[in-house]
Amino acid sequence: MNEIYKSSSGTLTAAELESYSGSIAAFIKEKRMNTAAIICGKSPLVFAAIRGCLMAGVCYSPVDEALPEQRLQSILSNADIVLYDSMEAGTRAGYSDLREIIQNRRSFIPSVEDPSLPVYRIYTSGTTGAPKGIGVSLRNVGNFLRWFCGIPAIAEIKPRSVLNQAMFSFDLSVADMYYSLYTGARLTVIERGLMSDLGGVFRRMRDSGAELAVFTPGFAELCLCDSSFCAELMPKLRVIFFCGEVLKPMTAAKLFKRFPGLRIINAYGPTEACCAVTAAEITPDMTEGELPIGDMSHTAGEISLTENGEIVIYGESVAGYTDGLPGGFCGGGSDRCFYTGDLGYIKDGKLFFRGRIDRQIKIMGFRIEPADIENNLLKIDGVIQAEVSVTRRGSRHSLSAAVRTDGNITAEEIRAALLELIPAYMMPGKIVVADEIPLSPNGKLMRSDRTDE
Amino acid sequence: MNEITVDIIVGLLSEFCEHDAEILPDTELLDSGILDSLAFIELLNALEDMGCPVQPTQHPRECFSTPEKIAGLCRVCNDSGCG
Repeated sequence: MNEIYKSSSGTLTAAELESYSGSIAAFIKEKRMNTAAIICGKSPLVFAAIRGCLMAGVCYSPVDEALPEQRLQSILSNADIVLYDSMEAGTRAGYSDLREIIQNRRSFIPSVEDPSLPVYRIYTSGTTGAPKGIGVSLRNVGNFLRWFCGIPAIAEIKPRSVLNQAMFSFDLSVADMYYSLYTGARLTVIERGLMSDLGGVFRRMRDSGAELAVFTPGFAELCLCDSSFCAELMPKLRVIFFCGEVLKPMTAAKLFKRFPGLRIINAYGPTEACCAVTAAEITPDMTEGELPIGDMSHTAGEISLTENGEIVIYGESVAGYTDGLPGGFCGGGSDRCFYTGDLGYIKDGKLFFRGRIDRQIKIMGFRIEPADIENNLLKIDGVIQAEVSVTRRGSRHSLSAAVRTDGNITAEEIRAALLELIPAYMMPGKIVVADEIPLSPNGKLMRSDRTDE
Repeated sequence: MNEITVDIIVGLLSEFCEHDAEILPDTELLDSGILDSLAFIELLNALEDMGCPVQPTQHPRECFSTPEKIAGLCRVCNDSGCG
C-alpha cells in the first residue's frame, strides 16, 4: 500500500489525502472564512484538514483537544470556523465535522497566496495568563524547509519515511509534518492516547519503517528505559532530529550504542522563529560534555548574541504575535529580529545553550511561563496572592505554588480549580496555602527560584 | 542482589514525584497524575541502577499504578533472573 499517512485511527494514500484536503479547502473557501481552528488529535482527517487550510490559504490554529474548556474556548473564539473530526473528538455542536465535509466531494485548485500572511497560529504559554498566539507565514515555513532539507544528515539521507511524536499543537511537529507535505515522504504518527501503552508505541515505531524520527529528548529518554528500543526495533532509522528541550549527553551516548551508525541532530529554535533555526550534528565523541544546539555554518537565519549573551534571530524565519504586541520582536524589514530570551555562547563555530534570561521553563518540550500559572491562580475565587517558583533538581524542572487565600479555600480545591484553567503539563506539583508570601523591601514578591544539588 | 521492597519504591517515588500527595504503598499513581513521565523515567533508571531493570513495554500500564504493584514487578524481575 502506498500510504502517505499512518495513525491509530487509519491511513491515507496520496490520492485520498489529495481528495480530502481538496474537499476541505473548497468547503472553507465557499464559506469565505479567513481563519480556522482545528481541534487536533492526529486522525487522518486532521492531517487532511491542515493540508486543506494550506491549499485554501486559510490560517489555521492546531488546538490541543485536551486543553481545559476555558483555555480551549479562548483560542477557538479567535477563529472564523472550527474544524474537528467527530471520530476523534466526539460530536461538538456548532463546529464543522470533517467527516461530513468530505462526504461532499469538491475539487479545489489552490491559488497563490501572499507569502507574508500567516499559514498557522500556534498558541503557547504567555505571561498574561491567556495563551499567546504566534502567527507563522508561508515565507517563514518555506525558509525553515529549505534550511531543514539542507542539514547535511537530511540532505544526504533524503528520508522517505518519517516518524512524528509531537502533538500537532506543538510546533516541533512542523519539522515532520511539513517535511512530509513538502517531499511526499510517508508520515507515521504516535498519538497521545498511545503514550500510556509503551508497548503500543514500540509496535507503531516498528511498523513505521521510519528513516527519520522527530522527537523531544524526553521522549527518547522514556523509550531508552526499555532495552528493546534499539536498531532491531527500527532497522531503517538513520537520523533523529531533536528539538524542544535540552538533549543530555547521556541520552545521545545511549542512542549511539543502541542504534549503531545513527545520526543525531540537536536543534534549537523558538516557536516565534518557526520550529528551529539552528542545528548541530552530534557525534559519539561529543557525548562527554555539553552538546551544541547549532552549527553556525548552516542556520535558518542570522544568529547573533547580545552583550549579555541573549540569542537574537534575524531573517526570514522571524514570525510575529497575532495580538500585534511586540514582545521580543524588534525592527522592521531586513532588520526585523526576535530576542529569544535564551542565553547562549559560541565556541568553535558551534552554538551552546546556557539558560534563560527570565523564569520560562520547558517541561517535556512544553514552554511554561510561571506568570501564566500565577495569573490563572488569581482567577480562582478566594485566591488573593499567588507565587509560582521553579525548582531544579539535576536537569529536571518542577513547579510549586505558594498561595495566600481568604481562608475559604483549601489547597486541594485550588488544585481542582486550576486544572480547569491550565493544561495538565503546567500544573504545579506542590500547592501550598501560606498565611503570608514574603515581599521584598520594594513590595515585590520574593522569587524563590532555586537549584537543588 | 537485595530485594527491592515496597518501602524502597515508596522512598524513590517520594523523591521523584513532584506532587503534594503523600505516597503510601497503595497510593494510586497514574490517574492521579502523581507519577508523571519524568518521574517514571527517573524511577526506571533508578531500578536499573539497583540491578533490577524493568522493561516498561513488557508490562501493562496497570502494573505501575501503585508502589505495591511496582514492587511486585521487581520481585518477578528478580525471580526470573533478568538484569
